[in-house]
Amino acid sequence: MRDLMMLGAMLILVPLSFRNTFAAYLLWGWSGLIAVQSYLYGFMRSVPNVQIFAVITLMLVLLGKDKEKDPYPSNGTTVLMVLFSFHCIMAAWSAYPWLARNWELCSNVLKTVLFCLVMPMVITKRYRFHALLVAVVIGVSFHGLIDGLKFIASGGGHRAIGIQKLGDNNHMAMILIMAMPLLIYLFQYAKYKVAQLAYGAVFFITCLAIIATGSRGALITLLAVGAWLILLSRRKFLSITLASLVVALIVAFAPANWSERMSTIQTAEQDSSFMGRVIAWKRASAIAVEHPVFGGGFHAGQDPQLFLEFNNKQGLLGFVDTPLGHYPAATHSIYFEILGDLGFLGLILFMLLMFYPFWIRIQIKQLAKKMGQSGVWAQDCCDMLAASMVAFLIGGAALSAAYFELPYIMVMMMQVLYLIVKRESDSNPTMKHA
Amino acid sequence: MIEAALLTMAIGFMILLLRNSSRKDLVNPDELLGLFAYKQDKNEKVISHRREKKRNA
Repeated sequence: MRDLMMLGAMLILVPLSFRNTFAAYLLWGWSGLIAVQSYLYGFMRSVPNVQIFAVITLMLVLLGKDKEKDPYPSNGTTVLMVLFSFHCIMAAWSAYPWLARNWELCSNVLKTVLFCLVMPMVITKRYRFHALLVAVVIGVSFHGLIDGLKFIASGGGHRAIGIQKLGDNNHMAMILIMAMPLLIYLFQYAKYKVAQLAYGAVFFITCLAIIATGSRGALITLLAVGAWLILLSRRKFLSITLASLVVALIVAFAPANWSERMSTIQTAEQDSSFMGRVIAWKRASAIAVEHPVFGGGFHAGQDPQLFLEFNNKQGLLGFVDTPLGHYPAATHSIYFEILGDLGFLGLILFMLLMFYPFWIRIQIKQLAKKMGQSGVWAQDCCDMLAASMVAFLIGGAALSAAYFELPYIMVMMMQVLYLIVKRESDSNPTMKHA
Repeated sequence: MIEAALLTMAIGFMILLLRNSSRKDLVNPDELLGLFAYKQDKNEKVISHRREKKRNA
């Protein structure tokens, strides 16, 4: 039944995407994030929706079908992404030859980067940027809505376990927290009551879905994002109110076993789950010490053969006492994952790419301030995009999530936001001197 | 059941979002977003979509 519905949807969406590059691009992004295959069990499961929309977009870009398309603007994020992609190819090429998912993960990163590189050409106006934001939120919060509603339906008994595309409950929680600041922005700027109500409801249900994941990392990430929003927001009262609301929600709806699990954060060093992560970090850093430039290759840290070779090596974390690992667990940290997979050079490029949006944010703020009232939206938007990045950089510290597409999309969205604001500022010379 | 209903909604919202994407008769491109339109100014009042549709009709 679902497959027939999806077939019907594709019969509408594919012709829609042929209308213009912008529509096709939004569908490309949306279909990648919603990962509809995870919810289908019949013949539509094998239909490559994302590739279909990607091919249509690229074809329309090459044919120059978009009247609002601008010449490709030079920007730092594009340079960093190209350098990072080149490094990924080199790392995959020089990797241990038996790594099972080496080229698969490399090509996933390259596909994400390709999506991001097209963005400055297509997302050229505020209305397009807003539409992309809506499409991203629909794609991501869809997963949160499912688990949030199941949590309500089960009276708090449902446990979110994640989906194949996103990973386990911890990955799911991080992705959902990344979507929350975007929902706040959309809520603040919705023109119509019905849309505002919908964003508010999705925000509330997403909070419940995060509780349903039972992720301890999610609590730390939520605290970090809350602190970021309160510290840097121009409207501190609103931020404090929202943070209090989320805390009240958690206290009111979290089941007793959730509180018990969260209390174990204080004894992390005695926790086998946490120590298992430190063992994996040691192994990843040991691989990087042996291959400092290009690392061991994608997912080298969790390869069984490399596990035997590097299990007793201390890497960069010799100062932490840990027992020997029992199995080739995932690296459980975006930083150590990149370090082991792509080496020190890869980590430097990754860090530059992931922290660059914070520099762009400062530039957007400066430019938007000069624009006066008409630039306030850009200031709010860059704060929320940055909050989303904080969620990734903090939440990802204990997760293998370095190749997720959402953070890369956020990085390029920050750059595109800057380009739009700059264009608006340049098109109105009086603003520059306001 | 929940999954199927939400999938239908997600697809429906995307169709709504893209429905007007190629219209060229609109004076303001922001109107292309329809229900998902945004406030130009943060201080602008939130309005009812239905009432505005009636007024425009």
